[in-house]
Amino acid sequence: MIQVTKLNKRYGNQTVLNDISFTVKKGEIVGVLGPNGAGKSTLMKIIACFIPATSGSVKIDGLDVIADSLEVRKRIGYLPEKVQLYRDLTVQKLLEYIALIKQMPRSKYKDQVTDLMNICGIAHVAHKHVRKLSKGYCQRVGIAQALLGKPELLILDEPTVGLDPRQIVDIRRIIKQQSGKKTVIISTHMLHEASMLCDSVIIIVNGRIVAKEIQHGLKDSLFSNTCLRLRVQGPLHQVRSEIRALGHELILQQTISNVDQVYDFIVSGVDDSRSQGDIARFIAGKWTLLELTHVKKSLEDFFLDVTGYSEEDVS
Amino acid sequence: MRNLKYIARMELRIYFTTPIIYILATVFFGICGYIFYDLFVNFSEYSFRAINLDRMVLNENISANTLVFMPLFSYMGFFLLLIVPLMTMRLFAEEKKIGTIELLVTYPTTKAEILGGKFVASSCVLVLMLGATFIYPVLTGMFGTVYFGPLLSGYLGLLLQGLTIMSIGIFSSSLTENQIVSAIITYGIVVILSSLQWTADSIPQAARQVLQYISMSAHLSSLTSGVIDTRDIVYFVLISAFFFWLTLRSLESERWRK
Repeated sequence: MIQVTKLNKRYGNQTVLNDISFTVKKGEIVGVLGPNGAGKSTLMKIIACFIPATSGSVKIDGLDVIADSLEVRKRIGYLPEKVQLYRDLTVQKLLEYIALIKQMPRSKYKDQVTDLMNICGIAHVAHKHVRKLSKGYCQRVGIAQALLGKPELLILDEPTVGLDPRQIVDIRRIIKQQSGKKTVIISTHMLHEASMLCDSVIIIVNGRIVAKEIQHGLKDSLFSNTCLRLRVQGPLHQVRSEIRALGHELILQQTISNVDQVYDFIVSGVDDSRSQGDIARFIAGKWTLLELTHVKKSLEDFFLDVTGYSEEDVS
Repeated sequence: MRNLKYIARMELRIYFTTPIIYILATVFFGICGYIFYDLFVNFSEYSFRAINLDRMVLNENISANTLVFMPLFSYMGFFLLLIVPLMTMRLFAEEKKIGTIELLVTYPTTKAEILGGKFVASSCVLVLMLGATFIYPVLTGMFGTVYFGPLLSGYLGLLLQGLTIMSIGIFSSSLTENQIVSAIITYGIVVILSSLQWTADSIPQAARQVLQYISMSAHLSSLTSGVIDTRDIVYFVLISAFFFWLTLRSLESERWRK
């Protein structure tokens, strides 16, 4: 459904997207994950035909987003990161206008607008002006406009950002309802959201793909790695280098107290109880081991891992 | 071009749900009404005097067309120059400022349809505003003789001038997110186009003719005096087409600059 090949986007000397390539199959929900400023929204805008890439190509159903832009736009529904709607129209008039612009048959568009208002929970504000709606309702209207015309591909750029928890649940429910019916590409920096909604995820950092097409099964195995959280009193650099020398990977470190030299370390690659015991004995023999906890490597840890955030960044 | 109709309809809805058009229309009708009244009173006094003072000015043309409507159209042409940029400054600048352009250009619609829709909506508002002033000749016709042929030529001139300024205004609006900047750019271009004939006196003959043709005011004055010259009509159409082309280029280049 989507084929992105060697995509680059530069603003002057700044490279926002660097050699991005991936494919998305029909009916899949794909999450584009990354920290703020990673280039997710730029990627979404290019796929949605809003801005052109500097080089490379994006094809939707075999159609190029530049050469066949009009045809591509007939197949997509796009929700920008900051959804901005005509404030002086009522919700219903706005959606009817968009339905007509999306070239829906005159006999059907009103019914679909009504259906979508019900699905998105905005039927009771149908006659309210957009300027009087809360952010959550604007987001719902934004999703409704993206769904209008039954597009084959939904491009959702941070659809739940800035919403309260209840609104987030509602929006996720609407997106989840599209599963299997449409191809959805969704950008987010919320990891649990990606793991809840998406069949696979692509992780972008500084405009580069650092992990891609992580399927559910793979994600499960990655995140099931057992780790140890160690609270150790000792000199930071020495503790770090000696744990690494044992062949284990330090994922996260938090400074608990600089004065007392107390640090939290998360150590990965210690799946069996024997190596866990070894590492505990090693540390206890050299420094003061204040706490040892068994933890599972979370999605956040994995994210920090692949995005290259070092322990120094976190501390 | 099906979307043109929907965009035009939506733009018209926005025009009439925001206060600016009502303010502009009130000012336009207020000033035009006052000037019409003033000209009409002068015309009545002049006619009355002419009859009483032994028809001393019979040789002169003292019809309502020459004494009321020709000067009124000149004033209206000037007011259009002031008002039309304020009507058009919003069209693209606001879309860019608040961000609605991002969705609009990702719908299956062409830039020409978007431009056309906005132009048609603005044109409808202009036609309504000019049409409402037709009450002046109708009222005058109740008390005297009005020749409607030259009047229609005058209205055609005003409409063409208004539409040309509109095309310039839409182009300016496509250049910036700031509505005030958009209006100022339009005023600048229109003032330059209108004042070209003043500078034409001091330059060589060949260049003078070109500048005089490009100058907007000369074309309007012949139409308001009742002379329909195809050169004037072609002039307004050409200038409008040129600025439409520039607007499309501006919208396209904006996309590449993002």
